[in-house]
Order: sequence, then C-alpha cells, then structure tokens
Amino acid sequence: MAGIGFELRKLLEKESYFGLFQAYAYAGIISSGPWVLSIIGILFIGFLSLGVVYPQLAIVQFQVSVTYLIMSSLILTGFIQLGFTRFIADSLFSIKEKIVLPNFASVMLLVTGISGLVGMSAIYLFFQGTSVTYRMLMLSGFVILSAIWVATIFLSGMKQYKEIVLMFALGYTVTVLGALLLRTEGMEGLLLGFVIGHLVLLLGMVALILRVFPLLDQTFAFDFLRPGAMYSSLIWSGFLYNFAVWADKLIFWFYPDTSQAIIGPLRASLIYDFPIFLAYLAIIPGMAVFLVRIETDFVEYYDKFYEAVREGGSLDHIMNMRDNILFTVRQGLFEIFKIQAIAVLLVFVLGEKLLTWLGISTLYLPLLYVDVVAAGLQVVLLGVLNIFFYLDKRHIVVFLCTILLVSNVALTSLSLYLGASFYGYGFALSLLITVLAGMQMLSRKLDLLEYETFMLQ
Amino acid sequence: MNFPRAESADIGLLLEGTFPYVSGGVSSWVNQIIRGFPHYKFALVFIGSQPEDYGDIKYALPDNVVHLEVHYLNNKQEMPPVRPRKGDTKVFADVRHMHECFRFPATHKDGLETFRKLIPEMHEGGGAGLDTFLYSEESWAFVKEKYQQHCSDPSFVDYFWTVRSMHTPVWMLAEIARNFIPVRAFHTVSTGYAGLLGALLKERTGCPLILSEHGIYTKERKIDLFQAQWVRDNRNVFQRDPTEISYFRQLWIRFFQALGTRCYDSSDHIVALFEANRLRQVEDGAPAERTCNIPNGVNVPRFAALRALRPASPPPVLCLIGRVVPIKDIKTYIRAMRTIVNRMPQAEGWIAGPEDEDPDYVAECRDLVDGLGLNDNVKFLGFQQMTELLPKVGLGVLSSISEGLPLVILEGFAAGVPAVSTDVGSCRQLIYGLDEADRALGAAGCIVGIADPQALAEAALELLGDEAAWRAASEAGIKRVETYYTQERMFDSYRAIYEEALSWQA
Amino acid sequence: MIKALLVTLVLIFALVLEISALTLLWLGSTQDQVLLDFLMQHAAASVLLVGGGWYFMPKKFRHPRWPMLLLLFNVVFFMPVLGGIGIFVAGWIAGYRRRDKILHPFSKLVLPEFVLSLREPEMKFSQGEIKSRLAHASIPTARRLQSLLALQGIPARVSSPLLQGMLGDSADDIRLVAYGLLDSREKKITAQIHRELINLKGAAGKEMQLIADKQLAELYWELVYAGLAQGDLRIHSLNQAMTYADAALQIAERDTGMLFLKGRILHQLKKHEAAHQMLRLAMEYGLPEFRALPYIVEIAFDQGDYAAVQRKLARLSTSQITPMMKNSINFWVPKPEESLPTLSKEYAI
Repeated sequence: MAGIGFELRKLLEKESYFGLFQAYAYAGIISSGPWVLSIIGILFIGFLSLGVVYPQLAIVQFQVSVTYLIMSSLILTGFIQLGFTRFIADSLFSIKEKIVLPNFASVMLLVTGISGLVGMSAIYLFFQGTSVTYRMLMLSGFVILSAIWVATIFLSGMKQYKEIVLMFALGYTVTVLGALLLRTEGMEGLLLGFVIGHLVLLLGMVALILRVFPLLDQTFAFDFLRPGAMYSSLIWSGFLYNFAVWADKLIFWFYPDTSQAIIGPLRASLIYDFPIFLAYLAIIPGMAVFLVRIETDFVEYYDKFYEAVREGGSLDHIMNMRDNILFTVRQGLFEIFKIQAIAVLLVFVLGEKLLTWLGISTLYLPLLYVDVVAAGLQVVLLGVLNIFFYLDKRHIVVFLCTILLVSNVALTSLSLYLGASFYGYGFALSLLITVLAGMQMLSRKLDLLEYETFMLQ
Repeated sequence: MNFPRAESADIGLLLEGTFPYVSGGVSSWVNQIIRGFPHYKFALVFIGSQPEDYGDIKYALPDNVVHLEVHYLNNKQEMPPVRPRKGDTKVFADVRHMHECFRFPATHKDGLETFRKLIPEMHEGGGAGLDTFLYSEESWAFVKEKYQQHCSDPSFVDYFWTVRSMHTPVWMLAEIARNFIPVRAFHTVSTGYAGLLGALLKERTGCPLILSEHGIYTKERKIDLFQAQWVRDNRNVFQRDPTEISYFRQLWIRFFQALGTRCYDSSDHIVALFEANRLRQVEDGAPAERTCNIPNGVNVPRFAALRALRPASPPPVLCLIGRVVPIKDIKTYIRAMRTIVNRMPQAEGWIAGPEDEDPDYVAECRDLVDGLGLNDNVKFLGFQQMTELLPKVGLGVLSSISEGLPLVILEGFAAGVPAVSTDVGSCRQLIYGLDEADRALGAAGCIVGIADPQALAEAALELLGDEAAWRAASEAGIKRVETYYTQERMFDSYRAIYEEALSWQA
Repeated sequence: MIKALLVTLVLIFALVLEISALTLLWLGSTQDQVLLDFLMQHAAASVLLVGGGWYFMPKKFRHPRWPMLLLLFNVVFFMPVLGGIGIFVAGWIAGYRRRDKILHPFSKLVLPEFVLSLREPEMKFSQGEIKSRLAHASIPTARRLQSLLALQGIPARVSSPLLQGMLGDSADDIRLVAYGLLDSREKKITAQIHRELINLKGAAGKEMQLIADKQLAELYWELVYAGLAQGDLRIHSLNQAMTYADAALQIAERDTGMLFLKGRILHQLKKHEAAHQMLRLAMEYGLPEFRALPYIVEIAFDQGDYAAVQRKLARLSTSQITPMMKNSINFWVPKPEESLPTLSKEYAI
C-alpha cells in the first residue's frame, strides 16, 4: 500500500492538527470504507423501508439475503484474494504490468464461471419454494459480488484506494436509490436495487481498470495459475481467514435455539447478528490508526531496513532500522489498542441510548459490548497479519488463521452450550487467543529479523 | 581423466595451485622430488580455485604417484540445507578464543590446542560444522560482535559475505582431510589452504607434517591483495583514513596469516630455500628450532652438455624464462628492451613461458611491446624446452618483484648462461654468492633494483657488450651451481627429513 | 451484407427469447419447472446474443475466441439484461478514454541520510613528514607502510619520485607496495593509451582523428609529467607525445592547447629555442600570457638568461599566479619601493 502511505505522509508533513486529523479521516475512510458503506447501506435501506414494505419480514429477508451473499462470495473468493494480490504485486514489481490485465480477465472468467455454477446449483437445490425472481436475483448478486471482490483486490494492487472508496460510494448510492424506487415491489424490489447498484459498482471498477491499463494485444493470460504464482499458503490463508471470521455467525445461524428460518434455506440469528454488525462500525477509528501507522512509519523503516541490508549499510544502521520497525509495530498496535479502548468505552457509555434510538431492544447490550471488544481485536489481528505479510512469513499467517478458525468454532460452540450470557464470548476469546499468539510470534520474528534476513536466506 | 587411486601410500603431498596442473618453478621442483625418491609411494592432493583456471595436466605423472585427487575451492559447493539452529555456546567460546589467538599471538599461545579441540566438531551437524557456521544464531552473534569490534568498512552486507565466502573453504578442506587415504607422512609445498589441509591432517592422524616453502605464501597473497581490484572499499570521504587499507583487504591478509599460523604450529619440519625466507618464517610465527634451509638443486650434467652447443661469442639474445604473470614484472623487462635496442639494435628479448594463467596481463604486455615499437625485437615464445632454448640465449633475465630461489637461474648457470636479476628472494645470493668462499667464485651476472628498466638495460648491455665480462660471469655461474646447487645435495637433505618422518610409526 | 442481415435477425430473435424469459419471472412463480424454463430460454437468448454481438466486436477483442466468448456468456447469463448493457459501456470505455501512466507517477526522492554510527576511524598520524618517515629504515615497517599508503592521496607528480625511491627499500613489503602503487597508476594511463590507439585506428573523419590525437599526446605527456617514465622510456614517451601533438596540429594548426603542450614537450626534450617559439606561437593564437609565461621563464632560466627571467616574471600580475609562483616572483622581482637593481645585475653576468 505504498501509494497510500505517500499521500498520508504528505498530509502528516503539514505538521498541524488539521493535517493529522485529515490523515486519520482519510485513512479511516480508505481502510474501512467498503465495509462500513455496505453495513450502513443495508441498515439504511432497511430503515427507509420501514412502513413502506410489508410485511416487515420482507425487510429482514432482504437484509439476511444480502448478508449471506456477502459472506458466501467472500469465502468463495477467499481462495484467490491474497494469492492474486501477491501475484499482481510481484508482476508490478518485476515490471511485467503487461501481463496484469490479461490475467485479470482470466480471473474474472474463472470467478464468474465458478460462482455462477455454484450459485445455480444452490438456487436449484436449496431454494425450493422461493420465487424464481428471487432465486435469479440471488444468483446474479452472488456472481456480481464475487467479481467485485476480485476487482477490489486488483485495484488495491494498483494503489487505487481513493477510487475504490469512490466507486463503493457510487455503487451504494445507486443501491439505496434503486431500493427506494423499487421498494414498492417488496423484498424482490429491494434486492433488485441491490443487484443494480452492485452491477454499477462492478462496471465502474472495470472501467477504472481499463482506463489505467491499456488493452494490449493479449486479452487473456493464465500466468496466475502457474504453480507457485499465487503461493498455496496465501490461497489457504485467504480462505481460512474469511471462513474463520464468519464461523461463529454461521454456527449461530444454524443452531436451532438461536436462529430462525428467514427465507428458503437461509436462517438468521436476530440476537447475534445485530450487535455484531453494529460493532463493526466501531472499528473505523482503529482501522484508521492502523493504516496510518503501518503505511507511514512501519513501511518507511521496513524499506530502510531492507535498503540498508541491500545497499551495504552499517550494522548499527541496520539494527537501528530494525529497532525502529519494532518500535513502530509496537507503537501501532498500542495505538490501535488505545483507540479501540476509547471506542469500547464510548459504546459502553452510549450503547444503551444508541440501541434505543435505533429502536433495538436493549437486551442486546451485553452482546454489543463483547462484540465491540471482539471487533477491536479483529483490527489488531489484521494489523498483525499485515505485518507478517510484509515480512513474507506466509506460513505463520496460515497457522494463525487456522488457530482462529478452530478456536472460533470450538469456543462459539462452547458458548452456545453455556447459555445466552456467554454469547459473543466465543468469538471474542478466539480472537484474543489468535492475537496473543500472533503477537508472541511477531515479537520473536522481529527479534530474529536480521538473523533470518542474513543467515537463513 | 582417470587419476590413479590407492588404498594407502607413504607420503601425502599437498599441492596448492601447482604441480601437476601448472608449470613453473615450484612444479618442476615437485616433479624433481617425486622422481628423486622412486622408492616412496606418493599420494597427491591438488587444490585449485576452479576447473576453468587450469587446463590439462602439464606433467607426465611419475610411476610412484599412486594416488591423485583434485579439489576446487571456488567450485559452487553444495551448501547444507538451510535450517535455523541455536549453536553450541561452548564450541563458540573456543572459536572466539582461536580468533583471539590469531589476533594476539604474543599473549594468546594456546591456539593449537583450541584448534585441536575444534577439529572433531568440524562436520555437518557437529558443534563447528559448516551448517553451524552458516545458519546458527551463535554464529550470527559472533559475526556481529566481530564486525562491531573491528570493521572499519561501513557495509555490513559486504563484511558478512566476505566472512562467509572466506571461511567456507575451510570446511571443504576438513572434508578432504576426513576422507584422505592413510599415509605415513604429509608434505605440503606451501602454507595457505594446502598448509591448513596439512595441519588438519596432522592433527587428525598424528602423522608428521613437513612444510617446504618456496616463496612466502602469506607475503605473496599480501601483494596480490594490495593490487586486487575485486576487494571492495565502501568508506566515504569522511570515513577514509588514507593510511589504512580497506578493511576487507586487511581481513583477507589476516585470514591467510591465520592459515599460515595453523600450518607453522603443526609442522614438524619447516624448510625454507634460503636464510632470508627462513627468518621471515620465524618472524611470521614459525618455531625457529623446526626451521632449516634447503636450497634448490639442478641436474647439472643435463645442462652442462648444452654449453658446447652455444656459438663462440655470446648471442645478443636476452631471455626471461617464466610464466607471463604480474609477479614476474615482464613489463619492466620489455621497457628495458627499449633501451637495449636503442643501443644494440640487433638485440632480441625473448619471453619463454606459458601465457595461459593471466590473459589480461599477457595482453597488456603485448600492447606494451606494440606501444614501444619493439615488435621486431621482443618475442613471446610460449612454453619452451630448456635444453633447446638455453644454447641460443646469451643472457638470462629475471625482472620479478618477488622470487624464492629461482631454478631458471640455476639451470641457466649450469648451461653457462649468466643472468641479470632484480634484487628479490635469493637472487643476490645466486649471482654474487652467499658466504666468503661463495663470493670468491665471482659474480655470475648482475643484480638491479626492482622496476628499474634503465638499470636493468645498463647491466644487460654491459654483459652483452663485453665478451670478457660475459665469460667471467658464465664461469662463475657454472662453478657456483656445481658447488652449491646440485640436485644431489638437495636430495640428501630431503632424504634425511623423509627418513626421520617415516620412521615415526616404527 | 447478407451476413449483417443474418446477425441482426439473430439478435432480434435473442431479444424475443429474452423478453419471453423475463415474462416468466413476471409470473412470480416459485416452481422449479419455471426456473428451469427460464434458465433454458435465458441461456438460449444469451448464446444468441453473444454470438450475434461477436460480429460487432472490435477485432482485437475477438482473440482468443473461447475464453472471450465464455466470459461474455458468463456476464450476459449471470447478470440478465444489465450485464449486456454493461459490456457495451465497458467496451466503450476501453475503446476511448484511457488514462495512461498513472502507474508510475513522479515520486519524491528522499534526502539520503548521513549515517555516523560507524566505529570512529582512528587517525594515526603523528608528527613528521611522510617523506622523512619513509626514509628512515629504523621506523617499524608497519608504520612506514602506512605512510606509504598515504601517498595514494597525493598527486602522482609529487608522490611518484618518492615511490620510486622506495623501490630499493630493504623491507620487502615496502618495496612491493610502492611497486604496486606505481604499477597501478602506470597501468591506468597505459590502458587509456591503448583505448585511444584503437579509437584512432577506427576514427572516421578528421574530427575524431583530432580528438584521438590530442588525447594520445596528453596521455603520453601524462606518463612523463606524473614521473612514471624514466630514462629512455621518458624520451620515448616524449617523442610519442610529440608525434601525436604534431598529428593533431596537422589537422588544427591553431589549437593553442596542443601548441602549449608541444612547447612543454620541446622544453622537456631540452630544445629550448623551439620550445620558446612554440609557446610564443600559442600565445599569439590566444593562450593567456599568465599560463605560458611561467614556462617561458623556466626556459629562460635553463638557458641561463636570468635577466629575462626577472623581466618576464615582473609581467605576471599577482592576481593570476599560484602561491607557489608567488615565492619565485618575490625572490626574482624587486618590490617597487625597494630598488635593488644589484640583484638582476648579479645574475645577468
């Protein structure tokens, strides 16, 4: 994310509080933009449809359907998200940008094909009893979302963060407007609005990509499928991470006591879902801090460290840079902790009012508290994983994601067994375990950074 | 190429960059020794840099060479698999101590004992194996520590790789030592890598080690290193101390000194060619009581027969016999030829010796001949048979900047050819005589300073232009070689050493 | 023509099929059979649409055929109606507006850091000149070696004679290092000479020839000036320098630089008269007086014409001379207020 780091540094160099604020705001929007926009958008559509769409169940059906679409498309594309990111980064680094677009076209072909086939089988096999229109919309939505995630990766690889956020803003504006116009058609209308909005988003992204990359003689290339091009460790960590963070939700959705059938095969857990999606809104400040720290200080010293190693810096200088990396990592993680702690405190203080204002039962409150802490930990975990990616310790990432998946499944199941007052703790605890393990390993890896860089290459 | 292989032998000869792949003074000497002791079975180890640097074997292997193995230190070695490990603190304490011994020989005297402790650990998986050196945390800490204590070059990465590439051959040598066939005594013809191999073999087996040094290995390496272009220097204007050579040069110099120390400490007999070299060995740490001088000797009758073949008056032909390499300073000879030809237009300057060792230098020499307009007078003859060459030569020339006890001068003397030589090695002793009686034989030519073409030319002109002086010098040379430098004298001395060494087991 | 008609028909048929399929959705049915019917019709319509649209595609997008057809089908089939429109829009964008070069924007270079973390270099100089330290064999070889190495930083012209003196030193190392230093200097110039000789041989036209000649003259002169050639070799180098200077002057006869050089060469060859004339000629063609005059003075001195030395030195204005020259001037030229005519008379004898 060097490009973003550069812009952030420019803002920070102004050396004023306003500049600092700008930098953090910018980082916050960039880092959590798509994510937050989709949550807000969906909640907003639901909010505006209240009283217009009958029965009210239709709104829930819409929201649940969209949640499932996002989840399933993220898990499906999880397989190639990280691997393909790395492939693009490597291609750009070795100045083979010519092969990037043809490979993008091929990935698109692959993703639309596979998601289409998977989706078709799903709507035929599992969605009996729902309307054909609904099924077709779900199929389209699934294919479009899968394509969007791939395009997002592609644009992140190009450092087009601002554009991504702009495109998401545009897409969700269309989604909300579409849903508003079509809400008279009930749940299907809302979903159609969602699909149209996302198709616009996808088109916007593709247009952006085509503007950046001239289309040369070659339209398709399958370099990314060559053995080693995407690293199997990255393929697995992408899948494992996405699966792991959704595992607790899936368990709650399909555990009879905590869930109810909403539409077709889709079940939801009303007690579990609302708080956690609200909690995700609280990660914005943490993500902002994380981005600023990692992309400015960390990357700066990281680059200087490897430059010193390559260009023949003195050992003192190399170790100095290593210490600075260590310091910025520590500082960054500590700042995420601080800022998330403030967010948690705010939610503790204002949570009740917030829920009342949103018209949600305050029974959700204890769960919201836990989920805010969990979401904060997830930001820390993202930070740790990101640093491991920078250090190219891919196997550690796979290991951590496996821990997260296993512990999340185990502890969430345990929390279900222990009863309602433990809900949410499974997710939070599994994140805590993973974060602690990650930090322990990070500390060891950073201590041995020069040793490994020199002796074990 | 099929090398002879054997299960065992009498003497293990350790040869670095010489016989049988390189022709030259030392190689001829080795050939002479092997053939001089036909009743001993020799096992040879040749250590070279990389196969491309050598052509085919240059000598017919004598029948009593029963075993020959060839190893190249710069060959891309298969490195042990990369695996992190801690390393043994105790072993590294010994390693640290041995380095202290190298650095402060005056105060740390137990280097040999420490070395003995480390040798059994020098295998893969051992406390001081190559894998430990390459990948262990202890080793990393040690490298860091030494860099911080001593390195004045800013580039750590250069330091790191210099240390790595410098030390890896040591384990290659340990591997060679471990797999070598049983012999009763070892004889190394230089310190350096061959010398270290000798020390490793001696300490492993307990068999006696003989060291014969023709030049002084560490000194020659030092000259190379002063001039080497490949050694990096990353100091900037503020860091550069003009009186200090680049740290990596120092590092390499000290590395070769350390190799020398190991070899001197383990050798039972340390043989020099002449007194100055022996003193230098002692100065470099060789125990004085184990040193002695054995000058080279030539097969006089073989060359004596050539005297009759020469024309009545000395031909105006100068000849430098030797490899075309910088250490011979062929350029000074060529420059001197300019002056000689100015005054004696019919004079010819020959250069007889192989040209495959340093093609760049050969090209430079040819350019110089070209540049000085000497194309008609200076001839590169390539390798020549001495018996055919010497009768046509009027004056032997040696313009080297460093020498031991050059056989070519002695062979020339035996054939009645006087010589002009630079004042290096034992040349002064060969031309003017060593002790009173020797000096009384007269001057067999002339000694001039190094890199002084004018003086070289003057001296050569004097000898070639004055037939009486030439005859006197020729006579003195013949007498000197017949009195002091016969092959028999040399063989007798070595026979005594070999017999003593081989009797060790009995 | 017929082809276009056929394609249009296919597209119209596709449209009809698609509309028919969409009406199935309108029914709001939940039956699987309806879903299958819809999918079949929609699939058929998509195939026809892609097949017909293929005809309108720009040529460069039509290759490779199967992946492209499949991708188009995926879009049209899985995103009914809207996907097809999207392809047109995307194609339009790809065909027109394109922003190149945003991949490699100008990047700001950061100021390099000066790292002062290294072990402090120990300065080992002590009192005494290099020259005197080198000369005394009683000083330990290691110390003398350091002094010798320090000569590397001194101009060749000054250090070469010192190094030559060290070639006869009793210590082996000193001799060899001195030799190495001299040798590398000489090697550098010789290599340049060799290069220029090749350039000269391959020189196309007078221009190139002139450049090579001038270079060669300068390089041979440098060998002499830096004290790297002695005795006959010095004469040889001077003659070579002269040959190439003459060759250069053949091409450009008013080259003041070459005339100046030739004057100095002649002076070194002890052809004083000719040297003097050459320098005068150089001045005539524009060489500043203050550059030529010191050499003219030197020639006069070598010729024993001390009156001329004094006369000519007086013409050098103080602003144009080096501090070294100043001493000579102070010695030879009487200051205006102190009239010391005796000095010049004495030397004029």
